Amino acid sequence: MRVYLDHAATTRVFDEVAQEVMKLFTQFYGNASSTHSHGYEARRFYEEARTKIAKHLNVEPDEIYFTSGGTESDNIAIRGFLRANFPNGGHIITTQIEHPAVLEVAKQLEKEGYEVTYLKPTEEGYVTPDDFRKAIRKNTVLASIMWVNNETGVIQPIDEISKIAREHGIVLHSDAVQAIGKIRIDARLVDMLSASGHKFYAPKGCGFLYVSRSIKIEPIMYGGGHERGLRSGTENVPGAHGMAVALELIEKNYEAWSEKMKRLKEKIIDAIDSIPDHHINGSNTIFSHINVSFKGIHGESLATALDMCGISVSTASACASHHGKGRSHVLEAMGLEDWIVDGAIRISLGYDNSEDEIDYFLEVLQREISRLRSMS
Amino acid sequence: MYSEKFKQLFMYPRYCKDIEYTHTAEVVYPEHGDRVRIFLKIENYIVKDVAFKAVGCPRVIAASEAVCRLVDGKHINDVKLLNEEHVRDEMEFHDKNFTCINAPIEAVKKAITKVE
Repeated sequence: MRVYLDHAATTRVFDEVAQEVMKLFTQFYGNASSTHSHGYEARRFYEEARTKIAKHLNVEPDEIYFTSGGTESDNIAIRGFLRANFPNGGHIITTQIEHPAVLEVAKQLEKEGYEVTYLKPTEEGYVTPDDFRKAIRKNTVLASIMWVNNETGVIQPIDEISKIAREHGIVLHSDAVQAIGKIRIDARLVDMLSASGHKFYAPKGCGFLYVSRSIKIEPIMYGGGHERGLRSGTENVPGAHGMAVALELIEKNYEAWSEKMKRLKEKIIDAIDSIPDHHINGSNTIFSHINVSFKGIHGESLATALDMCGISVSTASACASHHGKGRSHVLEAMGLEDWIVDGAIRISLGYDNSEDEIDYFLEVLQREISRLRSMS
Repeated sequence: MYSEKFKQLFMYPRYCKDIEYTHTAEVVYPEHGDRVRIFLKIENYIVKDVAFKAVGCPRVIAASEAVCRLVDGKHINDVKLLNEEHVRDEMEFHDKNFTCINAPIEAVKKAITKVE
């Protein structure tokens, strides 16, 4: 049996989405910027997608900009906002647990003269509104706080942080890549929000950025002036349509699917609780994520052993990899003990996981933990 | 990513066992979370039996098993000549970005320094 439990990395495109996207590849393939009927047809799908996504987020269609994914959305939001409003520097608040798509931008901005505060999370994996408030300076111009952490699944207190940011006139961006399609969010809590299609059962290579009408923003790359000048490049109509269809399906089935996910997660947690010497990393997590460490076992070894039995989970710790990453910056920031950081695996459920798959996973998990522990 | 041989070493190690040993040594790579202990039963400069215990990444575990297979039955002068390339060949793993496979090699060499 092959079991995919790495939905935080990417998801399988829904069958309905794949069929719809295929229709755009083969029937409605016009360039959405062309002024002929093939182009108009494509434009119609594109703008309908924008409207549906805006409705999902409780914002207006002209506040949605299509991009290539989360990384590009984060870069446009942060750099585009600063370029338009504070080109000569200022203070930015972010967190130590952001995705590299935000962290690396922040590091680069420091080199360019901006000041950056990186909020430390609690041991439970969230940043506190109080720490956010304390970090505010007279020259704070922007905050970028993720909605849900990609490694732990911990939901950050965006609503409270939003109130504080508004009180102080600070523009708030949120990387919501792990939140969209999993929890219901009101994008109006923030001024800018990033999302990535392949994290919610749409194709790879598409994403979007919400920018409130009240925010002035400039492009970070230049070309044909697509997306009202903010993001040049031929419109990815199949991607935009795929994202809209995926979100519609999730909305339609949300009650049933989220209940199933909660049940499967509970089953996994119950089984983990029967294994001695483990640590669940993070609290107040979304229903798809479980980040857990088992004492005496390296996370990469457990993930590899599971993989060799047909089960895909992920680990943040590796001696080296093609990305050159070492230990998890998220778990280290949470101040967890070494064995927890080195031993962590991330199990991320998807809407298409079955009870049988989870039964098989738990059987293999328990067996491999015993085997690896006997070697230590 | 991994060969069938690597999979065998990692999933079905023969040398992760308890033995009556005469020499032992441990090597820890704290920055990687790797710890390897090698146990040797040496008689007349010959490795009569060998075993390992390891906590670490898959490469450390597979390399520990590979090292045990390579040194079992060998004269300690041959064990002294053991190097990274021998172990990589035994593992069928040639990605040199991963230096962690040196942990069991260092452990076995450290253990035989005490042989008189």
